[in-house]
Amino acid sequence: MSTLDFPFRRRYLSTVCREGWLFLGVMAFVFLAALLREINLLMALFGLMGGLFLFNWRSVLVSLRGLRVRRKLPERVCAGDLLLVEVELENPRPRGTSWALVVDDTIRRRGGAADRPLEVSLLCNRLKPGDRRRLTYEGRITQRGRYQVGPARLSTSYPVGLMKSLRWLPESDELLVYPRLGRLTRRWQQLFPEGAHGSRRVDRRLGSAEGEFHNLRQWHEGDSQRWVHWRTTARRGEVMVRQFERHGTQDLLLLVDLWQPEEPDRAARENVELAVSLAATLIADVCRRGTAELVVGLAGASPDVTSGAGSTARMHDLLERLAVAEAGSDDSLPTVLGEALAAAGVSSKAVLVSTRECSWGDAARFGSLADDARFHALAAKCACIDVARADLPDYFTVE
Amino acid sequence: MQVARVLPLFVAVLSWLGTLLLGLSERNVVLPLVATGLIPVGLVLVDWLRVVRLPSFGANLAALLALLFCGIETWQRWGDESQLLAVANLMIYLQFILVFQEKNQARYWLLLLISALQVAVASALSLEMYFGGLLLVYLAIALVTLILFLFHRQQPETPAPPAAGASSDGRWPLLDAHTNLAARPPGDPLGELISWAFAAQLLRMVAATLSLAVLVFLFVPRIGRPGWRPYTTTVARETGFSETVALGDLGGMSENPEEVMRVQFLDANTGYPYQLVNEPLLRGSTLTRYVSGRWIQLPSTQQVFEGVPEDLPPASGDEVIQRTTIEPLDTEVLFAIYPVANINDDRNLAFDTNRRRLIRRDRQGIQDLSRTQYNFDLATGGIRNGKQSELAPAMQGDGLMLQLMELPDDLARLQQLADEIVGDIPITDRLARARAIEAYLREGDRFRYSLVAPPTPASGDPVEHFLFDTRQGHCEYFASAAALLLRAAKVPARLIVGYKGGDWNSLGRFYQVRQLHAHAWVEVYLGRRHLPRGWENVHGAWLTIDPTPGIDTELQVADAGWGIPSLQQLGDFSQFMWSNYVLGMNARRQSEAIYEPIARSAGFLVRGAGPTGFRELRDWLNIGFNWRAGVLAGVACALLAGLFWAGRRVFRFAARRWRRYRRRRDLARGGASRVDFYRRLQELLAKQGWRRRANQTPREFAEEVLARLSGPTQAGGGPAISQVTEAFYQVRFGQEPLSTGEAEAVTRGLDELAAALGTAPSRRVS
Repeated sequence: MSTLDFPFRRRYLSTVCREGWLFLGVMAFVFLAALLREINLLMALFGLMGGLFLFNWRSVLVSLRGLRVRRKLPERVCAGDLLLVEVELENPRPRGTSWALVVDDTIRRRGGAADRPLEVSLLCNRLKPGDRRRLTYEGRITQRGRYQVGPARLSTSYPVGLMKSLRWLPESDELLVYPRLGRLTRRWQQLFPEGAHGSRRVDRRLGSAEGEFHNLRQWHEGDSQRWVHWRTTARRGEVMVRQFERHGTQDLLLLVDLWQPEEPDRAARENVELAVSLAATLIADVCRRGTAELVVGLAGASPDVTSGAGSTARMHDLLERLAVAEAGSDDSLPTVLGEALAAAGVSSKAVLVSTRECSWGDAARFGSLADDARFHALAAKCACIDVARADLPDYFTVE
Repeated sequence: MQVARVLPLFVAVLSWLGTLLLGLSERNVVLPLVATGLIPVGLVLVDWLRVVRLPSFGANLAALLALLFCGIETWQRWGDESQLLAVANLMIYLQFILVFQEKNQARYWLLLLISALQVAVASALSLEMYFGGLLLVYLAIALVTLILFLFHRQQPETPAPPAAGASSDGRWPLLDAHTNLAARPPGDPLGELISWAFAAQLLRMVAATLSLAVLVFLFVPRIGRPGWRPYTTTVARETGFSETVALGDLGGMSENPEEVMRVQFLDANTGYPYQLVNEPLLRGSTLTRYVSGRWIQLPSTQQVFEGVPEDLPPASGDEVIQRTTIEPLDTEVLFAIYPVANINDDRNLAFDTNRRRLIRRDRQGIQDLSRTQYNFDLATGGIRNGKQSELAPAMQGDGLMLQLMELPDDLARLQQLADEIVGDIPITDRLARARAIEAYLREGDRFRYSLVAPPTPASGDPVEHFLFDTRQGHCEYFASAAALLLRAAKVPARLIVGYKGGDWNSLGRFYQVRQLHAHAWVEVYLGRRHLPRGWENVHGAWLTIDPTPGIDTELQVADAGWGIPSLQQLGDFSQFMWSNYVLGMNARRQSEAIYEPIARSAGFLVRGAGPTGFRELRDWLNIGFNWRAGVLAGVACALLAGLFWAGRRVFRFAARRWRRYRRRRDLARGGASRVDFYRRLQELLAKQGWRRRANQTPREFAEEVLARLSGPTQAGGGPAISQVTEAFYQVRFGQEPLSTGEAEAVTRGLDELAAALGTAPSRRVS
């Protein structure tokens, strides 16, 4: 959770609300009638209305004075997951309750298309002197990308809603929305050609960070004291340690081909999102399972190849790249492939997630790699997944 | 209960109040009664039970019909006020329609707006003081309604909980997935609004709004011309004063306490109002012709109105301004101490040259202003040395009428009596003759004053009947007898009807004249040769003769007293302020009462506290400040403040006792799992500035406090702190309620701690 604390000392702005304009219209009518015909009771009524208006003005100015606002929100969230944002209001004044405070917060996507910002209004009924109130809003952001939360606006129209005083809270937070994570079905492995599983192994090793609990065995030289299973040790009279198992820790070369036509239609853009989502799901899956070497080649508007061991930090790094990845109309896959082959190990499993069909024998695309033995090895074992294929939901689903 | 359910109630009350104000101003009871029936029905059936609602089509149709009806009504009764009333009625009809429609924010606003416009129209039609009070009630209810409405419209829409994976039903589930944000509802604000804090704030709001309203009202310059005068005001029947006198008609009517006017006499130089030494005689109409028991005005073939002279005649008395606020009456006659001059060029003052009377009517004689409340200022020349003089110079055109000597032929007995009274007083000595006749009627036991009119004789003259048979009657009999006797004695005289005296209001320093103050007296015309020395420059003068016995003309000056004003005086004063400084606030009054004093004050500041400035300040205080009222107001404020202070102390004491009783009762019941005793410990320590931090356990807190206690405080309070803390752990975490003995011990310990801390100096744990 990130916390932004911005003491509230900005200039205020007072505006007349729509209802206030109506009220002013009636006031003007009353005033003119009172003035031109010298009707003093109307003038008294005008005085009362004017008094109400002025009191409203003063009240809204005083209400916001000295208030502090803090926003708390997660740094990142997956598209479609529940986002909880907490706004804390504090009234440090020794006296003077603030009523009917409204915090208008906005969330807008940075870069890309200028989408309409998401807006939400939070109401705090009453904020006593020295008191704090937490207001919460929640929602689901469904489009990946980098978002700006804020600037927010604090306002009040209390007591009668004719005038509004507001203060801009210019500080904003950044929220990274990862691609939506889907689910790989049991049939997922069938996508890989024969031989791609040959190198899969099961490692049994010690240590909870290494995998799932597998068995107990006698203590050997070098085992950590932390792995000792004391209850069994006591029961059997000899030192027993826990043994863990790690499945499928095979290295992976993941190629993501985010290609789209120059003027993409909705189907093409949907395919791009699907490819990103599938790639993100694969990355999350691999990084959660173990520390295998993971090479990711991203072909799109900004081609990019990264490699490193799978870990939580790496998962976040890769998901962040995917969150902001943009499709391109140039074919950058051969270039990315060339770099990725250099980085990947020979025994790596290979997956190509693409928005279009891919033929490794296409000399026009991959002619530059024709002499590279690693390319041919990859072509033999790589699972090519065109996200436009009709049976994709049998292997991968996004809910 | 939620705001959404309470708001319709307040809107309904406000709508009803708007209709009531309008109905009262229109003198129309039907519409408020209909509103009293319809609005609650709409509230219950439409807003609360939601079983009935008027569809939009029906509402539009009804609104159209209402518009048509009002249009026809306006067409049939064309005129300023009719149009206004038609618009007002249209607003009431629209309000009824809206009441039966399902409410949304726009309709709530419309209802509130209509209500405000109703009050605006009512303000244009009303002149009554109660309207001011109702306006304050309306303001308070409007404030609460607007606050509720604000909360209502700021409540976030009931959020649909964001669906997991919120996806669209379309072909592009990732592209078209709905993004949504929703605020968690903050809870209903009504619970927070129902509190003493809110009530106090509401009071402050009303007070602040009123203060601002007063400032706006006082300082917005009046630049318009008073053209609008609502005539729906109830016109008081003139029961005391009458422009003709028919002897025998008065009966008991003259005891009517209905207000007629308020009169102030101000020193023209200082502007300070003062009380006359004698009771003022305010002349209304002059009656010169007497026919068979009736005094009538001169027949006039053509009414001639002219402006009141702008200057007083020579030999006038002190420079005095008569400031009058006269209520709507069924006569247009105005009352004053003559001679008068129009000092403010008031174009609604006219002088009826035939009937020698002052009236409220424009000079062309077109607009009758008698049905409206009216304020006017005149310079009067009939006051000398703070006393209305008996002899006042005649105005131009006075005293040239032969009718002043007219006497019916059939009054032989009266003629004989007049001759007897004046005896050997020379005919040229009109003054002496007049005094003799006045003394004859007024002094001794020959005649008796009575409000009961003597029975009218079947034949013969009522005045002779009064003089020779009944010898009792009211002022009209005495005045009639005096006038006729004077004429019989060859002294020109006329009967005057008007008002004598009034209730002196020491708060506002004005005379409250009522119908019961109606009076009749006589004026004798003295030509130049009959006037005393010093009156050579005038062509004639009027000598006032008041032959009615039993009423002292000389009054003691009561201004030096310190009596508490009666409720009636307070009421009169309020009415005076309302009439003069609310309804009667115009450019001139604003200048006199507000701008000029401020300008003078600014002058003091500029000139500093030098001798001149000090003198001016002293003069100003004499002019504009009523010391008695100021002291009374100060005493009242001090009393109120004392009452408030004492009430607060009593309330706090009672609240403390109640809390203590509750704690003891709970503890006596076995303590249960309540931990109020620990709360009390915290309260006691908080008074010393020791508050438990969020990251402190109760034991840590107790240790910290114990470490900081010293001397007798530690001895007296230390064990109690430990004891209460342990008891808290026992109850709160051990789920073991305190036994009766333990509970009593804890209470005792807390009492000891309170006593120990009472002597301990305050200190704060950082």
